[in-house]
Amino acid sequence: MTFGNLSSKIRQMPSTHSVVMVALLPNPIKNRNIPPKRLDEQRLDEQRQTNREVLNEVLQRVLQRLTCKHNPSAESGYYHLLCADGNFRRCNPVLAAWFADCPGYSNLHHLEQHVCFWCECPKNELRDYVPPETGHPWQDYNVYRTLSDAITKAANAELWLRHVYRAFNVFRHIPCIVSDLPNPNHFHTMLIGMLDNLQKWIFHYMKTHERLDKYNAFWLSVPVYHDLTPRHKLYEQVSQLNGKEMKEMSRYLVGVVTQSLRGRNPAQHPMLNHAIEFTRTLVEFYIYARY
Amino acid sequence: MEDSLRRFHTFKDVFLLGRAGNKVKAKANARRTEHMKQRKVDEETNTETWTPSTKLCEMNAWWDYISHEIVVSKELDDDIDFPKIHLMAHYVEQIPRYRALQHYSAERH
Repeated sequence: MTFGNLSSKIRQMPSTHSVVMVALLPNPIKNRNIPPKRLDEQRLDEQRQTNREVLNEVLQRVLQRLTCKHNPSAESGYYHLLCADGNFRRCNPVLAAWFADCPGYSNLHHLEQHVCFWCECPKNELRDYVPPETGHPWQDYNVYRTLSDAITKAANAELWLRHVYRAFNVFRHIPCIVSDLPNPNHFHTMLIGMLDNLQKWIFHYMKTHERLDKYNAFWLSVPVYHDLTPRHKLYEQVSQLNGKEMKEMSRYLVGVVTQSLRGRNPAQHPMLNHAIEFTRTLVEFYIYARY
Repeated sequence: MEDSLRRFHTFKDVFLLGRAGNKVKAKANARRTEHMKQRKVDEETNTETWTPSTKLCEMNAWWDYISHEIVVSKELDDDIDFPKIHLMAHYVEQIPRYRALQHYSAERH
């Protein structure tokens, strides 16, 4: 736990004790009650369910005092909190961002995997472009709480349609806008999520179009310019790129792809141009998001 | 950002084949196994009538057919639908609201 108004310099110094450990989120042990004859996928599902339930139980214990049930004044967004000097004060705590990747967010919110935790976008429309004015409705945790409490078939069906698990989730009982909690996260969504995938796609694309040798040659020949780290390994020889390398890669990737696809067959020309354009737009988006 | 996102969605299909997930690969492999069995049955049925050159031609034809079927299968089944593509749309809304992403980045500031 930390406070948002501290400067990052102070927050990152261990000697200032500005970050307080509240709880350790456990890594549950393997579920030994499941018979070994079950299919692997079923075993995994049950293990995931156990993990999710344990995580929610711990979060419930940590955030219990903030729930409306324990603190009737919480409905208004304010709490009467006992401070270190022994006085009660009227506070308005705001839950802020946390780091988690997509499966982590799904577990925290008690949603199915591969579901958007901001809006109620159907699973089969996740790949589609949604113009800002025609967005999907936001996740409404008040509705989920009501549906979870109502033990009826209709409520179950409604939860199933919205890809929400029926169980206690502490965030459905805290007066906060839960959709705002998963703030944009460069690392998991853009670097590990999109740019890493882009590299894999480009690799397969170059392989399919017999351009891999050229691509590797250009990849290795990127000059050490403006603090770029020199490259000594081909893409397929690198097991993992770290965040810094990804950031550096975003600076020259479009150039490398464009040069690799030069001197191309006129019949393939539009498709190869699309590949360059795709790389350019994704890198452009990443740079805008960082700016 | 919005313009970049729109163009990203326009051109994303160009990498469709590169994004073959485990399920798609498994399905394609199952289809390949099925075709290989058919090829073997065909080979055994005509083993007496085929000359070596005919057999070579037939096997090559089978191989082309199977490769084509696998590519088509991957194209039909594959889908870039992982949630991170969708999350990018929310970045376009969130960044004007909360400014740049630096506070939520793993970098040291």
